[in-house]
Amino acid sequence: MKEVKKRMVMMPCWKPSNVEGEESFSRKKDDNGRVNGLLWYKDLGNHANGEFSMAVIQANNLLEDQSQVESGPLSTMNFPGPQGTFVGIYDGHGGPETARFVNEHLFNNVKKFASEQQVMSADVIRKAYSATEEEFLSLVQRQWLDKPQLASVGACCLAGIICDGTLYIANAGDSRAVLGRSEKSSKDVTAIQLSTEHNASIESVREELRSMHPDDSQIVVLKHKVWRVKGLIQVSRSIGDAYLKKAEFNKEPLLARFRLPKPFYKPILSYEPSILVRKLQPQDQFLIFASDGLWEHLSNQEAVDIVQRYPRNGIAKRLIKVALHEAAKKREMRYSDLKKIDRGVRRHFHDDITVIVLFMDSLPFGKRSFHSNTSVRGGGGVSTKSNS
Amino acid sequence: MRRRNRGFKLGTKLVKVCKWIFRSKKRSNGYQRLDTTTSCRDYKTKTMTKIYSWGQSLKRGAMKLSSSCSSRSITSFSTDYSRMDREPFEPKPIEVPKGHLAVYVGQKDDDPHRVLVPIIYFNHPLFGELLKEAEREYGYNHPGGITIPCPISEFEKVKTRIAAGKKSTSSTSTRKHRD
Repeated sequence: MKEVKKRMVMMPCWKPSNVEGEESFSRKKDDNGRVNGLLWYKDLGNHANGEFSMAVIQANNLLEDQSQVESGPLSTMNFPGPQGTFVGIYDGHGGPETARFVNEHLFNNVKKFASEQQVMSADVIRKAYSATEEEFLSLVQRQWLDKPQLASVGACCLAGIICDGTLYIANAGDSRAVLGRSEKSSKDVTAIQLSTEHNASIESVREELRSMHPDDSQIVVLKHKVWRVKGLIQVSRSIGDAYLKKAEFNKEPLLARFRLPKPFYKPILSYEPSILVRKLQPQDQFLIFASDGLWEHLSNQEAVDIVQRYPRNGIAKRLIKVALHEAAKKREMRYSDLKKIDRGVRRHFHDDITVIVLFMDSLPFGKRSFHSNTSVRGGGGVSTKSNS
Repeated sequence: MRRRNRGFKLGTKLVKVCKWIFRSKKRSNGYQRLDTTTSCRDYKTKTMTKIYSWGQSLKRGAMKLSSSCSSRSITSFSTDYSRMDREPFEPKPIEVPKGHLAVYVGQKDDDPHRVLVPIIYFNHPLFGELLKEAEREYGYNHPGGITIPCPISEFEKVKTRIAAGKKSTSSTSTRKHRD
C-alpha cells in the first residue's frame, strides 16, 4: 500500500487516470473531481453556458487555494430570477481559513443580494464582498482570545459571473481572469485581461497606497527585490487580514512579527473589489481564471494559446503542467524531480495553483442554455499523504 | 573629403561589429541562434557570420566538455560545488544531473556558492530547517535559484549529516521501496 501511495505521488500529474485500477485511488467520483498526489482535477464539466475544466495543484502544507464553479440559479429563488454561472477563486495567505470561509459564504451572499434586487449587478457583487468581509472580521473578533493568529490570515478573491449575456469580473488581490477572444480576420485568439490586480509590484498600486497614506513613508517597502505593503504583504486588497484593517487586531496576543510599530487609524488594506461589466460577444471563446501561482510562470497570451491549441478535456490540468515545467526550469531542476518534492517544501518552487477554464458555447442570445445545476469545489480537500 | 567620409563610415561599422560580437558573447546560449539570424540581415557580412558561428561551435564544444566533466565529478560525490561564476551573464551550466538541484549558499553580500544537492535531501527535516531560514530571509518569491543564507561550512555539515543518516537507515528505506 505504501508503494501504491508513493507511486501516486510520483506519477505524472497530468496522466489521464482512466487507466484501469487507478480509479479506486480517486477519493471521489469524477463528478466532484479526482485526486492524484498533490493534484486535484476535473477534466470537463458543464455549466449554464457551456463546458469548463478545472485543476488545482497543492504546494503549501495546507492547501491555501479554494475555488468553486456554481451553475444554475444565481438567487435564492429558483424561478424567476437570475440564472447563470458563478466562478470563484480564493487564494489564501497566512493560512487556509479565510479562503475556506469565502468559499462557504461569498456565493451565498451574492445569491442573497441578487434576490433582494431581483437582478444581477455590480452593486450586488460589491455588497456580497462587503458582507463576506464583515462576517469574517466578526469571526476574528469572536475568536480573538482563543485564536489570535486568525487576524493575520486573508485571501485574494476573484469572482466571475455570467448572467443574461453579461459577464461580471470582480477582483480583490492578485488572481487574474483572462478572456480568449477570436479575431475576425485570422484564426488567432487574443488574450484580454479582464481583472484588475492589486499587488504592490505594480507601480499604480504603490501610487494609490502612497496617496492614501501620505504621512507614512513606509507604506510600501522594497526588500530583496519584492515590494510589500508595510513590508509584510504583497497584495493591497483582500478579504480578511484583520490585522491590517483594524488597529484593534494589531496588538497582543497577535504574533510580534505581524504587529506594526505605530498604531493606524484607517484601514491599510481594502476588501473592495475592482469590478468589470461586459456584454458577451460571439467572438468571446473562453475565460481563464487562475490564482497568481499560474501567472508567475505563464503570460496571458501563452495561456490563451495553450487553451486554443489543445483539446478541452483536461485543459486546466495542462496549463498547470506547463506552469510547473517553467517553475522547475527557473529553479534549475528537472520537472520529473520537482514531482518528488513534498507539499510544504514545494512552496519553495511554486505556489498553490488553481485554474478554471470556462468555455462559452451557448451564449444566451437565444434563451437557450443547458440549465444544468452544477456545484464543484476545487481541491476537494487534497490531503493525500506525502511520501516523507 | 570623400575619402575621409569613407574612412569614417568604415570606422562606425567596425565599432558596430565589435559591439555586436561583444554583446553576443554575453548572451545566454538559448538566445544566440535567433540573434545571429537577425543580426546577419542587419550587417550582411557573411565572413563575419562564418567566423562567429565557428567561434560559437568552438564554445559549444568547450561547454559540452566542461559540463560532462562537472557532472562526472558530481556523481563521484567528491567536490560537488563550485564557485559561482564571477560574470553574472555567463550562461548557467544547464546540465544539472538528474535527481539533483542547484542551490546557492552564502551569507548576505558574499558571492554565493552554487551547490548541487540531491533532490531527496529536500524532504529531510534537517534540510527543511535551512529552507525555513531561506524563507525567512528572502520569502518564497525569490527570483532565480533557491538561496540559503548560511555559511558554506555550515551547509556542508548539514549535508554530511544527512548523508550519514541516509547510510545508517539505508537498509530500512530499501525495504520500504520493495513493499
